[in-house]
Amino acid sequence: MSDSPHQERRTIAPDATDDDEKSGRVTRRTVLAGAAATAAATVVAVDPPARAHSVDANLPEDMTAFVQLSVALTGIDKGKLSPFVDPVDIKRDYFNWVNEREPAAFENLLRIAKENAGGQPDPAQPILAKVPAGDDATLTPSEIEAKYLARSIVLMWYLGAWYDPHKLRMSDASPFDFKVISPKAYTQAWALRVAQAHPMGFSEMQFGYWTREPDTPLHFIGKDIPRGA
Amino acid sequence: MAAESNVEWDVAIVGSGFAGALIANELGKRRKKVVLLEAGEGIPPNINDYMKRFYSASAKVPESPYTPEIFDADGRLRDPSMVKAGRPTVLSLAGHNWRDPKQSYLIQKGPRPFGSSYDRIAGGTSHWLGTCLRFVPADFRMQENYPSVPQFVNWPIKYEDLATTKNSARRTPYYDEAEKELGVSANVEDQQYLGIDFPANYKYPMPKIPESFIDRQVAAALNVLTPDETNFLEMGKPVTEIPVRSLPAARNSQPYRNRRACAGNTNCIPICPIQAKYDPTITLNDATNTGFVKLMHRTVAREILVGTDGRVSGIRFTRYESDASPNTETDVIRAKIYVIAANPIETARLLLMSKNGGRTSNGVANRSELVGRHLMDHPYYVAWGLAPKPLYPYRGPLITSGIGDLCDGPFRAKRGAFRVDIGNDGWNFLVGGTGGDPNVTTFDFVNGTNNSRLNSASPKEALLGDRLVGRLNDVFTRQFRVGFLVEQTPDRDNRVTLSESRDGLGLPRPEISYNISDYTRQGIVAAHRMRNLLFKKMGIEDKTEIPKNDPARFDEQIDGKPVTLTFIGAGHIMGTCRMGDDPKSSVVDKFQRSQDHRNLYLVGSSTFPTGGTANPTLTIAALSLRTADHILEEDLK
Repeated sequence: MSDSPHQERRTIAPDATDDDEKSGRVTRRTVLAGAAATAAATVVAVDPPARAHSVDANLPEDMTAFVQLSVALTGIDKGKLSPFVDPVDIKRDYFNWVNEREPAAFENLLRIAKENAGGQPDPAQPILAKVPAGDDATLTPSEIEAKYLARSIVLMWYLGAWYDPHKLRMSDASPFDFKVISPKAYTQAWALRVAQAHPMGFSEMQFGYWTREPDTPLHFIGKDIPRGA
Repeated sequence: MAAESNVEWDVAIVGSGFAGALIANELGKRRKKVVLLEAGEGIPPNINDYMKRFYSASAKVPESPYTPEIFDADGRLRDPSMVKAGRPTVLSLAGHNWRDPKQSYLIQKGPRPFGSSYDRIAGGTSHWLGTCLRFVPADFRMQENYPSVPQFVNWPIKYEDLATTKNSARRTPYYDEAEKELGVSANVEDQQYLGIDFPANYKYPMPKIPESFIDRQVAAALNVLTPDETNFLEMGKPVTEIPVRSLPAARNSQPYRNRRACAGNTNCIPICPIQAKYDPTITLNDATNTGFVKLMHRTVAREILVGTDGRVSGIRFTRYESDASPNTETDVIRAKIYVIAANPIETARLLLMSKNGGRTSNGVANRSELVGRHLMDHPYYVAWGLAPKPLYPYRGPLITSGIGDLCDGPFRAKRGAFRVDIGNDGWNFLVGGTGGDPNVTTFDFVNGTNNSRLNSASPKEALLGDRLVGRLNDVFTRQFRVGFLVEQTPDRDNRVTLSESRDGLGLPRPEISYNISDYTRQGIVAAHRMRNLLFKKMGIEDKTEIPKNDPARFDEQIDGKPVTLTFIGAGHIMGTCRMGDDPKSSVVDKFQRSQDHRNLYLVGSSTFPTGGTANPTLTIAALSLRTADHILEEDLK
């Protein structure tokens, strides 16, 4: 897998049609077709047209892609980020939040997740490899949008807050320029769980826990911290 | 006319914080009719709205859970001239706005900012940390012990008056009673230092809050020291060990009075989500449940009326419907005894506003002309850095241990004392300006910036996935911060006066003149040296940053090197109505009764003649109980 931004810039391309998405007829065959489309796109870079709300939190394949994307971007284990039984279901709030604000870039990122799902041994790597990164000067406008939306999505999961991706691009981007998405989002934030703690004001632990070393990261984020990462 | 105006009350109290609530409850229990005038909102049936406001707040400052709203609809700080019961906020203390009357409720004349804020619900003390230290005995005798410092005076009472003397009405001393009412968790053994003593067999209401993992690392680092390393402390004896002691706190270590034990939400300030921390709403509920205490909220006292006989005859107040509504009603409340418990700034403001048509043109209770003077805080010097191995912050109460043994000694003839707070809150309120972590550091490593000074690689790291997890775990778990509460001299020119600027009811806002004396500066210098010792012993890499436009910053030469220092407010507002024996040099007597008006009491930390280094609340509470007894025994027999 090359780190060249010139390879990465060729990875965002339209694949399945709107009709496929809306009807929910995304099957393994569609995924394969998408992969083929990606392969084709490596020849010619095409910026996708902006389309509003072409993904939907109620479509299992879109939500699955969002979870796969989020797991890859955040480094939080899927069982923690999106547990099988998930009464809190913050992912749905986040999906809709992003989709309302940045539909085109969001669709592109979900497409990357769909096209690169199922990698082994680490499903995150193929997705991360295709999320645009590198110097903005080497990226197309839609790649730049996807790059910063990916950061907004990470910050959303980590802090329960929305950092406008268009502002993240600016040289004077501020860590204080954000909006808390909701009280629920604040309590579900991952940053301090990564720190083996809890969001301030939302402890699920018991009296006296602070006198000992915490449990390992496995307990908090579902995996141990890769050393030397 | 307000219905309450038709009642002949035994006692009218302005302010429902610690002092007002405790006095109201004591009087209500003895079937005295009490009315409390609270400028802010009343007590909600539960804290759900507070929590929602806190969780939603982008700036999780001490005021964030409470009303009035800090921001307008456009996200700007509200103009205090539009707010009917305004309050300072730490968001109006930055270099660009601390002197802007459109952003700062306090009209700050400087030369340095007064950095402490307060709220307008239950006296605003709900956002306290919960620390319940006693003053050390020397704190009451500063003039006697350190005559070389001209600003110091003695208190008209001694430590023993609060700690051992038994009032006829009670079986136990006032500090003990206060610890019971607030529900303090501590052990006696940890609190016996610098002459603090306890009655035989005394036990705090609950066992101590356990020390944090961080506290234990600090204690280990300061366990073995050489006299050379600690010379700078000038304790008058070689210091080879500095003990770390658990902090007594009004925070449940086991269920107490129908409230749960602390679950370590790391959020004591601004709000405990499970009310394991005491706040005055608890005593206020008890008080109103006596059936003899009435709380009037959105009720702003605007003038203390004094009759020709020199006695207070009433308090003129204005009730308001909301900040948005023009509806207000002004009336007078009448009682036998009046108690002003509105914090040092608002108490002084009310006294100074009370001119009685010119008969008290200097304000009420102000024949000494000392009302508003000697405003104090504990200038708070904070430092932060990165430890070589994980300390695991963001866990447990915000502070569980501190260093108290350095609060008194021969050095006090020359410089202010300091008390050390060990933070369990990482860089939460420090890094990058107001607000801090976890946002700043997370933002840096996601977006490739370096506001935290942790992402200094070139190029700066912008990480995703496992690499982000690894980096954030590494830096968050090693964050350390320490704070120093520095003793401030009571300086005559640090004062509250009335401003030309008005609030939403057209009343003059408080104008503050504030500075720190050289004695206090030298206390901060000593705190900085202590910081150096602590960081050296723990191997901590300093990451403290002082913004260039910080209005509190100052430069010092320390050991031949130029060092920039600063301080923030501790929230420990003291002074403005000092207590003393001589009416010429004090505003109230030793029972906090006005020297000028026999039926007027001024209570709370406004009466502290000197400030020591201990958080003032427990002493406020003990003095309040003492004053309540005095009212019952002398005035309402």
